[in-house]
Amino acid sequence: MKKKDFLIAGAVLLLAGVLTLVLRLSGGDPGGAVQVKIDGKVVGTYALVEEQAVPFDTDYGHNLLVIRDGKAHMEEADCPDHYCMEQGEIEKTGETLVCLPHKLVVEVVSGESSDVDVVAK
Amino acid sequence: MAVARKSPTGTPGRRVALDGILVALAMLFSYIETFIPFNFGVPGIKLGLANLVVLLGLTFLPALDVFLVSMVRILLSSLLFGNVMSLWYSLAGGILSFLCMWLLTRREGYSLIGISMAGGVMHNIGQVLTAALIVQTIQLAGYLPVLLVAGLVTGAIVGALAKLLMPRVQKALESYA
Amino acid sequence: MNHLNKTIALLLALVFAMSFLLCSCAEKEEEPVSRDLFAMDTYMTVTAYGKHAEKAVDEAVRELNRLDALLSTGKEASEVAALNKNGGGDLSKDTNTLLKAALELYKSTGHVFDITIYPVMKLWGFTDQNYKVPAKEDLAEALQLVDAGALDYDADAKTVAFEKEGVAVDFGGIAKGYASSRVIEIFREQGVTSGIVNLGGNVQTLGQKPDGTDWRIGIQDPEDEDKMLGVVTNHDKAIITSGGYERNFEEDGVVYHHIIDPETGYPADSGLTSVTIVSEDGTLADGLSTSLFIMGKAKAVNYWQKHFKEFDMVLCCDDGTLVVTEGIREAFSPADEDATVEYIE
Repeated sequence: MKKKDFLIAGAVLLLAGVLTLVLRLSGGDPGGAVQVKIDGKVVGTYALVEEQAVPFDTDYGHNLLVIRDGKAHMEEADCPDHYCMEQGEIEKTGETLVCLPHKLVVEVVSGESSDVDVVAK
Repeated sequence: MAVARKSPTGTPGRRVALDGILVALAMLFSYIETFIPFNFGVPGIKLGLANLVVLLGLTFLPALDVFLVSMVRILLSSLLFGNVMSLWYSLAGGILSFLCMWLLTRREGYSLIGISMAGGVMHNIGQVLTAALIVQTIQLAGYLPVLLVAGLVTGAIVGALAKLLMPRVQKALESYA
Repeated sequence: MNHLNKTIALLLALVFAMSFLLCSCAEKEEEPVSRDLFAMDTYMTVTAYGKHAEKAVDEAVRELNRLDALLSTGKEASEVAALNKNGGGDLSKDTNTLLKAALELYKSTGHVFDITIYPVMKLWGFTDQNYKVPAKEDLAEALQLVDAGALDYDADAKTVAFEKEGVAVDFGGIAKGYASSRVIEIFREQGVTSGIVNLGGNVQTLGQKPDGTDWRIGIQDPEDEDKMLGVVTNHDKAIITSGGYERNFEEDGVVYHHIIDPETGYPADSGLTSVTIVSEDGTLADGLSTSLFIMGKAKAVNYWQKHFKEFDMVLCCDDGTLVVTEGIREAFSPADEDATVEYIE
């Protein structure tokens, strides 16, 4: 390896370090996020630390996912049964909100670990 | 393309033949790579073996050829082993890393390892940027530090491999000259 | 061999050597293989661990889709739809097994579990989400059709004939339990020793977790979506919960849920808010979870005392009391330490 190689390595490491620092300072630990799948395809990942309302409008219909206080819930849905809106709030890894008619699944990924593997319901 | 040009690779026929061999070799690497799990805690990180071909190719072929080899490789391997999504990611990563490595090869003072590291890092940056564009989430930036370091490590490995192979490739080329 | 060939050969050898090295490292850590799908009107997740997991999970998904196509009352091409249309017919291996299990449950539960409840479910709109409270006379008419005992089932010939016009069957009460058992069977056949299936809240486990500990399965609190009643640690069991909270609708201020008592034709009102069955047999667990919900606490406890070798249960009463049977006394831990728990021996 030559001198300038180390320059590259050093520069990248420095950048990585600074980025980590900036991310830490700006948003704290990114922590948990929810992943949204429609018909089996991942359409987005949203951090739980950030308060946000994300609409999903597909051929199946409309859903509005709201993230507040580190938890996610379904605020609106134009499906016939509205079970997705009744499924409460999710925050722990593996927990899901499912809107069957719209084939939409919201699942917590890399969140606070749950003390159960699955919930029977 | 077909203009007979004096190049270190000799006749146009020979040059095309070399291009073909490189594409085939790169495809092989892409295929083999699908068997190699390289777990960095973040999904989608690969060793980038096909980069060996770009790295070595840049030492004895015109840059345009190597670029085309790389693009053809990405197109074919995405069609064969990936999907449309992976094509966009790879294309962005491939173009960015090629440009970076090409610029470095034209400068003094960088060894194959250094060039490869830069290529690996740029490849990952290209992928994250595409992903962020497609998925529309800035959250992906959180992966960037890990991906930077990962690119450095995989790049170094591939670069070291290239360095090992370099003398042999040189010899092989000479034996045909 | 010239130099170019040698170079390529060396390159290949290197790459292969490396790939084996990396593969052998990666094999040690047991990454789960998981797939999800929509089938049987629910969201399903199948997960397996170990080196056979990939193939096993693929097979499982195929089987679930196959069963969905076979058993769905709503799909015209399904076997069950054909049976209902033609008033019976030949049974495939799966429907034969299901019908046999359904009739055994019909007998053992004293006619509480009845697959011919379908016309009544349809009237309530639970089959197509067109919920409405049916008129009394319509209900009385539909109830006339409900009688699994009147099915003319020939186990040897594998045929069934419905005696009356309008009779229809629905395996919905045991289909998911049967499906999860089939998935576990497939996992076993494929050499998987650790896995878990979640068919819309119907859970079945295979072996223990890869780290050698039991699975921890939470039980949904029927009163609060965000809470659990408790946790059951287990291995090689189906854990299936039924309650009125799962599917219901409101009309004129009254909540009507989907667990219909075949005796009355109305949603069961037995003083229980949920029933969880823990059993090695997924089909049985599925069928019993609704049946015992309809029966109520006293009859359910009585039923368990006669069949305690086959299953264990957690009953949640409308006053918040939990009833837990002897077999899972150690395995069950209530979420609320102050909860009243009654243990049955």
